[in-house]
Amino acid sequence: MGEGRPGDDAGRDDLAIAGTILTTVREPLVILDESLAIELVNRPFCEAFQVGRSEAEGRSIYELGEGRWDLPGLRELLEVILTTRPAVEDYRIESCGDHRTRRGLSLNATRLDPGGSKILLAFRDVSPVGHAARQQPDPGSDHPEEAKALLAETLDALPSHIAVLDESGVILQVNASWRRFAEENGLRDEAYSVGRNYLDACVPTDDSCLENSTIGDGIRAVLEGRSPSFSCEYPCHSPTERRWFVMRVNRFGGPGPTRVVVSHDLITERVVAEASLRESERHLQLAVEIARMGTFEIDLRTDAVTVNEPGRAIYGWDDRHGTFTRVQQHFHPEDRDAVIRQVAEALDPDGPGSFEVEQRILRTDGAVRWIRVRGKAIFEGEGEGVGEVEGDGDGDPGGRRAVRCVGTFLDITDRKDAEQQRERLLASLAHEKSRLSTIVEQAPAFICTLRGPAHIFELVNDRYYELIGRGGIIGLPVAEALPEVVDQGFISLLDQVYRTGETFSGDEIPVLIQRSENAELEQRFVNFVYQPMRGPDGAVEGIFVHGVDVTEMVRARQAVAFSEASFRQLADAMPQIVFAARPDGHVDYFNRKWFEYTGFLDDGRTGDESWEAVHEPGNLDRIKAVWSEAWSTGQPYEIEYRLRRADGVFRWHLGRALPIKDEDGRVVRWYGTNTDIDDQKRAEAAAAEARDEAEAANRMKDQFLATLSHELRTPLNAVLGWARILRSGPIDDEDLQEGLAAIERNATAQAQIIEDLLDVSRIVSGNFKLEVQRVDVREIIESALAAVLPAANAKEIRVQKLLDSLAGPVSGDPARLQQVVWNLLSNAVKFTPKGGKVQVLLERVNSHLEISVIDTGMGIRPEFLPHVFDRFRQADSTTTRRHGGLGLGLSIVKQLAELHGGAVRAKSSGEGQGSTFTVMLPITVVHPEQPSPEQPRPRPSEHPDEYCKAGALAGVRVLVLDDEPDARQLIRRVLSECDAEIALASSAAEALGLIEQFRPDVIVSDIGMPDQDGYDFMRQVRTKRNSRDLPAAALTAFARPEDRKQALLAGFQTHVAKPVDPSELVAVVASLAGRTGSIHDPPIQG
Amino acid sequence: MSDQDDPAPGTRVLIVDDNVDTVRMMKILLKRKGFQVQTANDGAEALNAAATFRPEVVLLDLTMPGMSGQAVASALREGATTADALIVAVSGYGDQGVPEAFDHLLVKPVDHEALMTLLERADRGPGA
Repeated sequence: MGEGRPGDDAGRDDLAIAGTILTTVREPLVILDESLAIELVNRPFCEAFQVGRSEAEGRSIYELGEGRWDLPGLRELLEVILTTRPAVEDYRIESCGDHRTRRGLSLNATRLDPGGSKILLAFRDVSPVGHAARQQPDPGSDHPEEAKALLAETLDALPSHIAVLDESGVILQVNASWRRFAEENGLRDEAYSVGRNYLDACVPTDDSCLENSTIGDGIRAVLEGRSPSFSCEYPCHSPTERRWFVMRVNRFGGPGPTRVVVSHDLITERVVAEASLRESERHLQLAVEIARMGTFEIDLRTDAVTVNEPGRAIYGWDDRHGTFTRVQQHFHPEDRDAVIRQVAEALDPDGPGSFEVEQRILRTDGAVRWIRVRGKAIFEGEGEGVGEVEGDGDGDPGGRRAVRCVGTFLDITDRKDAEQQRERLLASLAHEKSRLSTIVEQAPAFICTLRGPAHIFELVNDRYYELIGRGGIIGLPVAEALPEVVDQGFISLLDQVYRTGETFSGDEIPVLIQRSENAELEQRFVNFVYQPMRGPDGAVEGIFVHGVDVTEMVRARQAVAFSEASFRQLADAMPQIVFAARPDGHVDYFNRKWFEYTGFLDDGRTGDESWEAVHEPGNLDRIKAVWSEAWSTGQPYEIEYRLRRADGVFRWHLGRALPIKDEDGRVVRWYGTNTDIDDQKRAEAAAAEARDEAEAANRMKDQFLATLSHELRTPLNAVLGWARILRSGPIDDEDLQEGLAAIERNATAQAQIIEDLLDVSRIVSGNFKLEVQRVDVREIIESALAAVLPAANAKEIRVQKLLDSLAGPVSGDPARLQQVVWNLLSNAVKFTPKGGKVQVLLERVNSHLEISVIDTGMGIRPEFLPHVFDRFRQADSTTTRRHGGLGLGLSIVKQLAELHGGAVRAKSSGEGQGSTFTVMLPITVVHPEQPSPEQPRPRPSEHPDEYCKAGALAGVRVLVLDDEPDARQLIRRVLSECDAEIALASSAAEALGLIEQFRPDVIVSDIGMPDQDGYDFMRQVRTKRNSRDLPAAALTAFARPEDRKQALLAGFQTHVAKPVDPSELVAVVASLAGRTGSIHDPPIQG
Repeated sequence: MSDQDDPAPGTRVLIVDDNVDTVRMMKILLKRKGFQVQTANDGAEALNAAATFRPEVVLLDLTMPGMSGQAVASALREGATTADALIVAVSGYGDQGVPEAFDHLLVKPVDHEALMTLLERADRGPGA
């Protein structure tokens, strides 16, 4: 390889020489190698410095320059060239010598190769002498033709194909080699000729090897001075041979015009040599391998084995000869039998005749080696001497017999190891693969891979199959395997990922999948990733799809949201306040009722401040304690408190809350209600009050019975005692009289008590009849006074009376009215101490009379005043009571006054301040004007003229309803006599019918009737006719205020007391019919 | 007749009752049986009378205006002359048990035989 003349070095030298010649026709030039030894000098150099070429070349420039030039200056120049700048122009040094011969020199220095290994130095004489010298005819310039010829000659002598170009690429000159090559290869004749631009023709013939533009650009760079040189190797095969060339392009500056030299050198030889070297290396390797191959020969007859040197090396033997038996001992025990069997088969005359095994052997050093053995049986007569053949002719029935076995063997341990290594790797790779596939299969995610732009299913795991609900999709494009998703955007998404290589991931993306044949599309929700899979070159080759089916989660969340929404709807519809709180007790929800009740705005406020304001401040601590106890223990919350309504009213509520717990028993939410229990609370309070009252009533009854017992026993004691005395024997007359009087008094008192009891009983049961008539109240008072006077006198109590003589009569029961006044008077006397004073007044006040009884007695404590008319009540408790009596008197007074349409009231400034009891009685309706004594109250038996002014009721149509025939007839007689027209009805139904037929102006109706009472009847009437069209009067015997109120409510305008007073009846009917001025004081009032 | 039967000096009995007829009747009855009798119509009167009369027996109505019979009995127990007197409650309220400070209870109308038995015992009591 080192042999022969390397064409490229020579070419490069030639090029340098040519360069030198080109640029140094007239001036001294020298080319230095990398060691600054002179490689070349030109003729001018030799002449200028008077040195022979042979003397100069090979010497160091410094050695040559010693005594000739300024060496330090030269050294400095060369260092600059070598280290920093590729070219220096007009560098001045001086030549040595005396002042006469000393000259100034200008040096141009240029580094020749880009590597900087050679340096061109051009000298120019700039001394006056030199100039003078240069003034002399220059042989170069004087003889340009000569120089040109010299150049051409030199170029032609070079084996390289050389062309000289100007700076535009035009070929100035070519050498003989160039011309010859062009001719031989039939290159487009003119294209490579002088005067053509080389850039047009520089295309190598085999343009597949190198881009034209690369060469063109390289040359152009040199031409334009951007690069000092360019070179490339290229093939240029002719039809008959394969050739390679190297092209070099160099630029030379210098004082003259720029020139570029192009050279082509044939380097086929080198290329071929390199190729053959590679080939021979392969041969060598083969040879080396062959050299390691063992050969063996077994003589089957003697068992002797001959093994060559490499073969022995494999086994580790020294001995060239051995026996096959011994060899077998070195076979690996596990392989031995199999190898021996194969050999035996090969040796069998009917066998294959050869064998090839790979086996293990045990080297003598104990190492295990793998060898591959090829062997061949040599049978008698094969490759043997004639004699052997003869020996075989003894008529062996088997025909042939193996006599030798030859073959080769090779140590293949390394290969085996590599194979095993590979197998191990493969096995582990397979394992990894199977692990991966297991992972993929068992992954909780669905996974598939899609290959290519059509997204063809390549790998799909079970989860993915589960998701899509079908199989058999491997090898199918997605659009074909899952046609239903095509229009859902997934294909275009895949396309996008495939195109852009950007991963896509989506959360809770809905996808409609037909998960079984004929089924409806089912909506699933998936979180998934489309991840591009890239090939070794980075290009997207497929898409890795993985994801999770989150349908259940999404559904569950939707369900929760739905249930939350349902809860809120439900909560909003509830009449109670509903709230919800977090496990830490933070209230974060109220229903609509809350905001309605509290008047708060739903401004999103939560927590304590959202509810504190509606509680009573003093209660907050208690409420918070109960609430925090609830949510810290998870126990239900229950409490009663008052909540402020929007209008400021506090109402009682029952607050309750229950925790909602998760599977682990942790509280996740609290739901609670506030139920308005205010009404219930009030009812409870009322019930408690009623209970207390009932109990009090019970106690009162017990007390009453005790009192009754006492009140009955006390007179009885006197009566019986006196009776005993009277019977016991003779008694003087005085005592007798006293005894009889005492018996009478006490028996009377007892009878009065019983009478009172019965009165109360009758009043309570509603079974009390007043014998109503015109009553002069003054007479009543006088009678009562007369009754109590003895008792008053006994206690030295002065009794005064002040009776208004104008106080008119009232309508009432005289006995009962007297009872009223007597009760009040005897009470006054009873509770007034000795020497006290009792007054009785009668006066008219507005439309009623007032009877007042005023005493200077013990008075009434203010707290007892409201109860003074209650039954069985006395201000003192039973055993310490100071006064006798049942405590029924005032109660009876009140009841009787009210039965008369009146009322009673008590006043006292307090204990010891005396008392005033006043009874108010309405003045009789028929005497609205002041009655005169000359006009006594008419009696029912009086003549009609007395109560019926002429034609008072003429033409008035009156419908009378009463179930008692006598009552009906009486009313008819009275009204008829006043010229009214009458219709009678005995039942409500009959009366209702008559309203339409008879068309009455006024109705007079009884109240107490069987079947349907007067109230019901009137309510029915009022559904048809209003009170203006058809006024009505009620007939009532029992005129309590509530009865009158009920009558009014039912639709009556007034009422007439039973038994009927004709005057009153006429007056009332006239009034209702609009026939009299007015009824000033209708009895309905009061 | 009453003078004849008067066993003076018999047992001193004080009758207290707001019912005048009862007081009169009891007085006549007991005088005829030979007791020394004084009467009072209310508590204050009774205590005044007791101080001078020093009754051995007090027939005391429980229910009277002013001082109740109970209060009178307690006061009598504190008085030196009446502390050991036989105090008999007379009540119109039925038999509710002998009240404190009383020795006996008689329910109205008073059973005269029972009353006499009581008084005879009291009569013998001091002497026995």
